[in-house]
Amino acid sequence: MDTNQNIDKNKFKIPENYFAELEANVISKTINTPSENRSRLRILRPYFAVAASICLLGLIWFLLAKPIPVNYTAEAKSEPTEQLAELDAALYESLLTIGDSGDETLEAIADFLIELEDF
Amino acid sequence: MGNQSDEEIIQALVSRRQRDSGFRMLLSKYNERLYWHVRKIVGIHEDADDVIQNMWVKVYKNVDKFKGDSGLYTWLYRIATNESLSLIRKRKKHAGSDEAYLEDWCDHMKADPYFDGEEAALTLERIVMSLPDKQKQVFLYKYYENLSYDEISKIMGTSVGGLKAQFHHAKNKIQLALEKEY
Repeated sequence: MDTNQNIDKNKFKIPENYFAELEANVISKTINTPSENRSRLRILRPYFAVAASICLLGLIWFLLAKPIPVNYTAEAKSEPTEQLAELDAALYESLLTIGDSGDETLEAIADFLIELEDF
Repeated sequence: MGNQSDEEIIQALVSRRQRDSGFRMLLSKYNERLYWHVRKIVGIHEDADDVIQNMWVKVYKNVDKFKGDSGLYTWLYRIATNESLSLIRKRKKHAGSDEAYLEDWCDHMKADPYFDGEEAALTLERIVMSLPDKQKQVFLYKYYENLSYDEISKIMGTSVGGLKAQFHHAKNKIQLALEKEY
């Protein structure tokens, strides 16, 4: 490839020291610009925004949803347990009553259930 | 600087640690050639200066996208040409029409301290400026830079046959326009 400019045909001129200045200008706009750091921040900015949004949503959910499950579980835990205890006592009493009924078959069933449940 | 082969420059450019020194080598090697290439397309020094600086900033930002499937020189010329043509399109749009742009351009050139041509040289430049983009490019590559059709074909991505036809049309148009003028 012919790298020489055809100066005879070139009526265009340039300011003195133009190419040295041009090179310095280009370097100041490229290599000497901390654009790398800025562009990294620019790249990471959407990720930061997504992370912040997730945190915010989590916080909102935590604040709004927290009282409901706590109360719900407390009630859910206490009420059925008490009801079951009452049911167990009633069943035990009825089994004891059956045990005194004199019917051998019913007495055997009641003994078996009492042993099975290990009251 | 400026004596490194394209392979050495590419190796430096793709290495993260040597990227900046690779860019300096690239700048040093091709700055003048690309400037003159751009200047021939846009004519006005200030425009060429804008184009070449923007072009280098683009090259620096996109150097990691250079895949090596075309030569470094071809890649740079393509970017420089596209930037130059895009500036001309912008100027034409701003002027309102191609004719209005050419008139503004001629007025600017007549008063331009960086244009040393006589009336005839300005006439030739004006005729070249009025050519369609592709014809202008082929003419500039052939007339000013003495590039072969193969080299121009690589830069412009056009077939050699197509380029020959474009050059032929460009030459005829210039000849006719010059005959009309004189």
